Amino acid sequence: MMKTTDQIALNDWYVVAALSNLAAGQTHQTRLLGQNISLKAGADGRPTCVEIDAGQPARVVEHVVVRYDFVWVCLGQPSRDIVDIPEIGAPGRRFIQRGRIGVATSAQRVIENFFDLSHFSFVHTGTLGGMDVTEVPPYSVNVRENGELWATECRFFQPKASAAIAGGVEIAYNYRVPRPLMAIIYKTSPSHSTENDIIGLFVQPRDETDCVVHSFGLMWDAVSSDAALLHFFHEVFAQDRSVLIHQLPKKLPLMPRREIPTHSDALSIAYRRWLDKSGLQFGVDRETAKAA
Amino acid sequence: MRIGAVNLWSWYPVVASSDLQAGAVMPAMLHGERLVVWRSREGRIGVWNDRCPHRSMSLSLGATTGETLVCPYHGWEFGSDGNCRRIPAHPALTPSRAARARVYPAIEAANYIWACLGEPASAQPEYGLFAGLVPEPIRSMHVRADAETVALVLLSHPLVAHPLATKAERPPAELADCQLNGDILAVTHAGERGHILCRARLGLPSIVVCQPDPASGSLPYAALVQPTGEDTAAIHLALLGNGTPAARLALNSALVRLRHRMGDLAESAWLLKVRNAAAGWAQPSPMT
Amino acid sequence: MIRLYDYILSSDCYKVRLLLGMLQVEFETVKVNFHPRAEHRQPDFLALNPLGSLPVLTDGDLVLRGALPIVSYLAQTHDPARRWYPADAAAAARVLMWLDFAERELAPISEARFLNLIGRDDDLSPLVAAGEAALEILEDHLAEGEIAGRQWVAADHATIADLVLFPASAMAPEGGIGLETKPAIWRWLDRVKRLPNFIVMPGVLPLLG
Repeated sequence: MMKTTDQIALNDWYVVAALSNLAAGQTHQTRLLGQNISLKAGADGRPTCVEIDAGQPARVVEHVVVRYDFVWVCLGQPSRDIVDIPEIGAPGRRFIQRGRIGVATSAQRVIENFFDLSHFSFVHTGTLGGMDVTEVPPYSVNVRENGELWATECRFFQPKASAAIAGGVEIAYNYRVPRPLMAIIYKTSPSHSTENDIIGLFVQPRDETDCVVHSFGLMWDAVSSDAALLHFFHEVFAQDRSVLIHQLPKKLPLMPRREIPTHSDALSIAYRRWLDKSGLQFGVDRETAKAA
Repeated sequence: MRIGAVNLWSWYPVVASSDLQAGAVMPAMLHGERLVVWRSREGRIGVWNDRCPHRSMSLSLGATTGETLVCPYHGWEFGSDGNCRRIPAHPALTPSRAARARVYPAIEAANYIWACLGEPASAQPEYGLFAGLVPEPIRSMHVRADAETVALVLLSHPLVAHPLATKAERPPAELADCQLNGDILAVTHAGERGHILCRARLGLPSIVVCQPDPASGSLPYAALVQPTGEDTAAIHLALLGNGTPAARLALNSALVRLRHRMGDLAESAWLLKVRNAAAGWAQPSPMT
Repeated sequence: MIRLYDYILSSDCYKVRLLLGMLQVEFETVKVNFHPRAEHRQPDFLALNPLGSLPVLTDGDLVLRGALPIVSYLAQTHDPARRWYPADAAAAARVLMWLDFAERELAPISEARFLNLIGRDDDLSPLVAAGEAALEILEDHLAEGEIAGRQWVAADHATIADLVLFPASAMAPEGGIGLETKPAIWRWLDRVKRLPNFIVMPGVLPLLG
């Protein structure tokens, strides 16, 4: 495995660990963009990071930051700041560290699955979707002034939308895609009449076809135990994982002819176009569509 | 390659008919292509590229309802012609014609399902060597060896399996003769129970047919070789004619033993002899 | 009331949940924060099970740890017909033989799957090789069974051996092992999914339609 030469990928920030899972003095080995790295939590809590070549420390990673209880790293020169999520740290919601989960596919496939609604009835039958109601109503997609991709007015009927809920209800979703490998859901909270619950995914691309998903929740649910919330999230994510590993090719095709979208794929279409314009190479397939 | 030739115009076996019941969906590989093989509730077979045209999910993890194949990711339903009939996210929508699975020619014959990766050159698979006997499938077994090696091993080391034997039989003591007649390679083995004649037709997908001396009490069998990948194959073992469960179990055991020895047998002097005999034959071009 | 200490993504816990469902037994679930908090390694849980492992099942004063003891207990106490775990010595031994196989020979597959799941970076090739070898044996056994007219692993009907072998076999792809070369296992997996009261776990795709 070799560190990528894709500068666009290298010059961005990525989560590589949850701070609270990195005990003082402990070393954590992982890989980012094809480069082996080692993280160490200092005695003062500040993490440091080195690039590892052939098992030996090779270069100190200059850009290491702790934000939102996660450790962020940039292997190049950061082209922009770490994403701003004002809701984290704001009072009221409960912050849940949802643990890292590995997926043997490209980070982009994971992101696309995360903001897709039309699989709920089939992959998450009984929770996020049911076989009775499979239709996905139209929603809006736009790229905002700050370059972030958003989908709003998404709705879906869910038999069991979260750990807190017992019966079926229509859930409203907004999706925010602030970076190519990051997505945040704002969804109707069953525990609050006006405010949203928030679920965020920060995907660490280990290689082009392998990644680690770091995730957090910001929930109004003050009643369910951490374990109950985690079991629900892990159940949903593992279900997604069981389809993600069977999507071949693993890299996300950007050329439109290879994979045929439909109306409910509006955000996916926009995401692929957005990635195409960004010039990102890592994890995507830019070849002309092969004959089907 | 002279034996186990892989091409785009021949029929290759992918599964025994009895191993694909109505409503069954399974994955298969042919020459590195990932396929989904399925049978509708009414018995109609399909061999498609194992990729949903929507978001490239493996269709082999899907299911049939009635006459359609349903993708497990978003529930898209495909008819037997490969066209998408229904998109659950938009139930009233007529799906685009572009939303089509790649359908390969498939045929059910001689108790097997065969597929062609391109335009078939003939209406039926070529299995003349069965000499009018109907293959009764015993088992399909995958091996980590390429199709040519597998065919050569089967020709040079026939399965010795007597249904009444209580332990493993010794292999034939002698490779007595090896002849190339036209495109048919015939190898005669001399063993404890008499002669065994093994034959294969070159230039076509490998079907190795072995006929032991009738006096020996062993039954004739065929091994159809499916080239799954560059270095892998599946062996479809079948009795030629009817046989008891004991006979079928005996042949299966012999095949499993062969698989365990595959590495050594691939280097054996007998295999080299058979390979050399085949070397004299030139594969005609598909245009002639 | 029977109580199961459970983690949704644990294939060992799933073996117990599967049988509880088949037997239609009522039970309470205690959700353990296995990942990322490792609650099973905390003193409170260790007091219950010093091995710090899941599943644990309690029934009154009885505390059992490990999928095999638990399924064997449930099959003997909640199945009067003794089909899930036959009483006959030879039949029981055949079941035990495959329970042992699942525990030991399929362990590399579950291990590889779990390491992949929690995003570890280890080289899994020895586990994958061991898992392939084990599934080849299971494939041979099931194929031979089909020739002899048997649909199940240890008897002519489903037993706890089938249930205990099921998770690692069904989720072998998550452990890096493909099922395209194991057609007999593929057909048997489908048969298990069609058993009455079958339930999935995340990672096992349900039957459609």
